[in-house]
Order: sequence, then C-alpha cells, then structure tokens
Amino acid sequence: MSVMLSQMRRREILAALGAAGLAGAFWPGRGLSVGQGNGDSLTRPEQAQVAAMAEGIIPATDTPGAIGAGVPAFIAMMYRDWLLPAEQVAFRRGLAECQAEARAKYGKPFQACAARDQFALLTLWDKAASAAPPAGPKPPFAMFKALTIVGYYTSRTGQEQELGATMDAGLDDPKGPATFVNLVRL
Amino acid sequence: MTEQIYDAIVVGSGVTGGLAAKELTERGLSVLMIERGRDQKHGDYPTEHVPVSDFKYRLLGDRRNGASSEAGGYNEASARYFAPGTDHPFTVAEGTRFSWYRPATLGGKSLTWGRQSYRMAPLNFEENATDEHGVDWPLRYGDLAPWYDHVERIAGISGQAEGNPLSPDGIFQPPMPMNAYEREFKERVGKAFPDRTVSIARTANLTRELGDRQPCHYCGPCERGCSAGAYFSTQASTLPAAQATGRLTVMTDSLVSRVTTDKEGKRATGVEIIDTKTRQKKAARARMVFLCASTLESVRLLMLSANEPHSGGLGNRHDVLGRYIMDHQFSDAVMTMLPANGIANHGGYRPCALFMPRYVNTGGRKEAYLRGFQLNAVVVPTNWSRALSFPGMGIGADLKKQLKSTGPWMLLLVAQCETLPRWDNRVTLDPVVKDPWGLPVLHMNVTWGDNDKLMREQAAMSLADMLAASGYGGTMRLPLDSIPGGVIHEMGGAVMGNDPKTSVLDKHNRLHDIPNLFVTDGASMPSSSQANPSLTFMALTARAAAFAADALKAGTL
Repeated sequence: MSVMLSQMRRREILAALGAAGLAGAFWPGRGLSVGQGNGDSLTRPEQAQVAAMAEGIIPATDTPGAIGAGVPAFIAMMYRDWLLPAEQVAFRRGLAECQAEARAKYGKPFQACAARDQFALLTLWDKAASAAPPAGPKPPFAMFKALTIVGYYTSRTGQEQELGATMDAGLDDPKGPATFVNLVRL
Repeated sequence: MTEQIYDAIVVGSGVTGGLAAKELTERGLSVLMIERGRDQKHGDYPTEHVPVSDFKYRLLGDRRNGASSEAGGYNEASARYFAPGTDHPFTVAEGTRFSWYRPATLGGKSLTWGRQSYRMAPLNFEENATDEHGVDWPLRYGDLAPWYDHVERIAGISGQAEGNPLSPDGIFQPPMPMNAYEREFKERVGKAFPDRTVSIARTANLTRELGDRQPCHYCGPCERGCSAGAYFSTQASTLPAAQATGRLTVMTDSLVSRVTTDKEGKRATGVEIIDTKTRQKKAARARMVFLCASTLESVRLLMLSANEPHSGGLGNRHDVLGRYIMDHQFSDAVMTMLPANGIANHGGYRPCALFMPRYVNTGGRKEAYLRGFQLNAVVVPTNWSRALSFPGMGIGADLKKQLKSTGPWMLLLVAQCETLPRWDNRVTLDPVVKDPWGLPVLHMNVTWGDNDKLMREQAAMSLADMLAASGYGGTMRLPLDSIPGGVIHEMGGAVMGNDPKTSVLDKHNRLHDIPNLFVTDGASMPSSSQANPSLTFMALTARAAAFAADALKAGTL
C-alpha cells in the first residue's frame, strides 16, 4: 500500500504535469518508439529567456533561486530529452508568445526587462494559466511553471537549502515525532 | 562429470523460492535454486539513499526509452529491479485488460514488494465452502497458524496485536508509531464505530534487530533495496540462511522451460533450462521440484511441461489448470484535507500506512455482496508538489514562502477488495505468440465479476460514510483504475483442494498426479481473501517444505 501511495504521488506529479500541457506525462513512453528523440535543443536566446522567467517564478531570497539551483539547465535538458515532439512545439511557441508580449509592452526581450516589469508579466501569465478550465488546453506557461517548480524543489539546492531534506535523515524518535509520515519523498 | 542429482530443485528465488530453499536446506536437503533474472548481491543497491537531485529525470522517469511502468514500486530509482515488458510479452483476450509485472533479478519481487503482511482469517478459509464459490480449501486456519508463526519469526513483522478475529494477531515486533493525525483518526473512528479497528500496518520492516538485519532507519524508498536488511527480502533473509548450510546451489540467468517427468508421468525428474545469456540448453535432476516462479509463471511452466501422459499440461487432467485467476481490487480512494495548523514538519519516512481489518459480512450483518475488504488509510502532508495541483498559489518570493511551510495534510482511504474465484477467469498458452526464447506466452482472459464490481463500488461508499460519521467533512472521491493484475497480488491457476477432479494441488501443495512436484506460490490459493497474500504464500511454502523433507527422509515422497 505504501508503495502504491508513493506511486500515487509520482503519478500525481505526472498528472499535474499532464494538466499543465504535457499531454503524455501520465503515460510515459506511449506512442513513442524506443530511443526516439529529435535532437532539438533550446537556442541560447531561448535559454536566457528561460533563466529569467524561472528566476522570476522562484527568485533568490535568503536561499538561492531558480538560477542558483540550476533550473535553466534542467529545463533545457527536459526540453531536449523528455518532452514529446508536440510538447516541444508548444513549449517553444509559448516562449515566443511571452517574448512578443514583453517586446510589445516594454520594447525589450523579457530577460532585459526591469524586475518589476518581469514580475508583472509573470503574474499576468500565471493568472491566465490558473484561470484556464482544468479540462481544456492549458497555456504553455503552465508547462513552464511546472517544470520550474519540479526543477527547483528536486534540485540539491531546493532539497537541502530550501526544504532541509536529506536522504538519510529518517529518525525514529522515541518521543514520537508528532508528524511521522509514510511517503517516500520525491 | 557425474551428473548431480539434487534433493530438490526450487524454481524462482522470490519470497517463496528463497524461503523454500532455506527450509529445505536447513532440513538437510541439497537444493538447486534456479532464477531467470540476473544475479543481485545484497548491499549492491546503487540507488539506495541517492537524493532525488541526482537522478537525471528527478524520478519522473525516462519517457523516451520505453521503460515505463505503472507497477507499484517502479520508478527511475528502482527500474533496475523490473524486467522490461518486451522481454516477457503476454496477450489478452479481446475486450479484457491485464497488467503483469515481472522482476529482473535474483530475489524476484521480494526486493520491491509492499511488505504488508497479514494473516488470513479463519473465516477466509471457510467461505469458498459456505458460499459455494471456487474450490474448498483443503486446510483451515488452524492448520496454517503454526506456519504463520514460523514465517513471521523469519521475516520479522512489526505490528500491533488487536485481538480482531478478521485479522488474526501474529508474532510481532513492536509497531511503528502513528503520527498525530493518525492517532486522531483512530480515536474518531473508534468512537463512531466501536467494532472497527484502526491499527498500524503489519509490515515486514523491522523495528528491532533480527540476526544480522538492522531495524528500519526510516529513509523511505524501500523499493531501491536495503543494505541494512531492514525489510524482508531473499537477499537479506532467506538466501544467507540457505547459503550458511552449505547445501545451496544458486543458478541465475537461467530460465526453466519445462519440468521433466518419468515416462509414465508419475514423478518429476528435474527441469530443462535455457541459459538466457548464451541461449544454451541445460538440464538438472532432482528428487523433488518446487515451483515458486510466481503465480502465473508457475502455471505457465506446468502448461509448458505438457508431455504424453499429461497432454494438457502437468496436473491438468480435469481442465482446472489456469483457472480461478484472482487479484485484489483497490476501490476508488476517498480523501479529505486536514489543516496544517500547529503541525510541524516531519521527522522520518515510515514505510507503511494504517490498516483496518475487514468489517463487512461479519456476524449477522449481510451486505449485497459476498466476502469483504480490508481498509488501508494514509495520513500524509502535501509537499512542494501542491504548487502543481493547487491553482492560484502565485509566483515569486510569496510562492516560495508558502511551499517552505508545511501544507495541508491528506487523509486518504482505499479498500482492498477480495475477488471471487471464478472458473472462467483463466489463462492459457497463446497458440501463436512466443517469447524471445521461443516459448508460448500466456493469454490472459481475466475480468471482474458482478460481485467484484459491486463490492468495489459499495466499499468506496462505505469509506465515505465512515469519514462523515467520524466527523470529517469535505470528502472527495478519487477514481482509481482497476485492472486485473494491477495490484500485483495474482493468485490461483493451480489451486489446492481435496478432490483431484476439481483442483490441481493437494493439501501439501503437490500435484495430485505427481507427488514430488510442489507449487507453493500464489498459484495454489483457492481464494484471495482480503489480506495481502505474501505471508500466506510463505506459510504454505514452509509447511510444504517441512512435509516434503520429512517424506523424503521417510522414503514416502
């Protein structure tokens, strides 16, 4: 049962990624032949935009933010090796739409905008993504935010510095920790 | 080279195979244990204690290599212990579904199992006879009770004695502790339903040392392997015990393709083997053969072993082989959220949840369905991933602050439902499709019956009612899919019974037709009960091994 539940949490995350526009996330491998990949990678300008957007979602505070946790590289890897071809197309289109909106509003690419302008844009996109009906298609920003959050909180920085989690910290405190839990972490 | 004749060949090295090897060698027999998978040394668990950050896909798995599985315990960290489905194909009847998960290494599924260890209740051994489904068990609880004691001492089961006859107490190590919300759940349910017992799971995870095995250190993901030996596995427990006798030979990368018999088909003489690395054929001889290859592989092996005296497969004179296939069903999950108020962050990852013994169709109360279910209850905090599933948490420093604090908790209930043994639920050899070794694959024709579906639906309603009556609001129902085989509790196919016309095995788990050929894994189960079955497989194995060893010594086998 506990195995099933750890599986459920994994599936919950995969399902949430699916709801965020990664249609195949819930069924890994389906419709894809072994070793399939199109070798497509994000361009350098796209990577700069990704870094700025990710840092806006998870900024450095008293702990490092997305850039400090290596999230841009994680997203670039997931784009290259994990997203299905159709998802790559949607992801790239989403980046281009964000960039177009930044230029239209502030006359600059997103990564060159002032921090408060970046925050305003990200807030706008996040609200639109949150307001999208659960059943229908999600704006590509939902996929971007999900990859940012997964990338940050599963990074060493996110796990150790932000969450204080370590792999061997399990304790059987004889006083009985009030909140002894029963799920493997992810 | 003189051909060695072993006292016993054990096919498979999982929960039952490893135990059979231990019991037989400790009783003085020479044993050859044959495993299809590759060797796997205890302690050589390369992903153990590796943090999520060190996995390329952060445990989301590689979507592009085809190695996908929804099996319990399967993930990016444990994938090495699961065999790729392409190596072990099977077919399903039109309009039906089946999930079948196979392990990849020595130790079989004992490395990745869920470790839940419950005795079947006295009632479970009687219901096939009383409600006239399936084949009457050839034994009763009292016959198996001493063997439950025996295997609980070997495996090391932590749990709480409750005195509930629907889940008999065993030989327990101290129970793992409950968290604050779990204790509250137990109190609330106890007030609303005095006859319903909420208890900590009974799990093959140690809370005290057992020989060389260390108590659980609560690191979390057992399915990666445990070098401390804190959970029962072949590697941690039965294999070293069998090896210590000096009478065990282990053969890995070796697929048993058939059981051989004498000309008359009255005695097993050994097995034929395919070396999976070289594809060379080998043979081995023994005075008895134990099939512990997993429910469906043991059934398949009996079918693959068809010969002149046994044209339909060994033990299949009356067309019973391959029938009465069962699994458990999980109901939909019923859950509610609990506020995080005042609850601190956690201090460890306990490898088990809560359970409640069957409470339906007991005493005078009768439900619209037969048999019953056992309840699993889980109380866990949400983690950072709630940012993916709860909309409107925003972005920036505020989002970070929210995710750093402990989120709301989930109280989640799932019923584990017994399924009835049904004659039409069967597996056969596919007449066309063959596996990579040229052997016919299994064709599954297994569906849920009316009673199974009705119980599953009413179980979810009962759980929702229980939460409401215990003062929990905001109940939600989460649909779970229910595919036969999906719970990985396959049972039946070579069922035990007293009558050779209606069963494959006798009360000692040996073929009615071939008294030195034993099947002691899940294939032998005439009914599924509501209990997680591995402990019962083990008890049956130990009992059969003792019988076999005594009979061999007495010259009566």
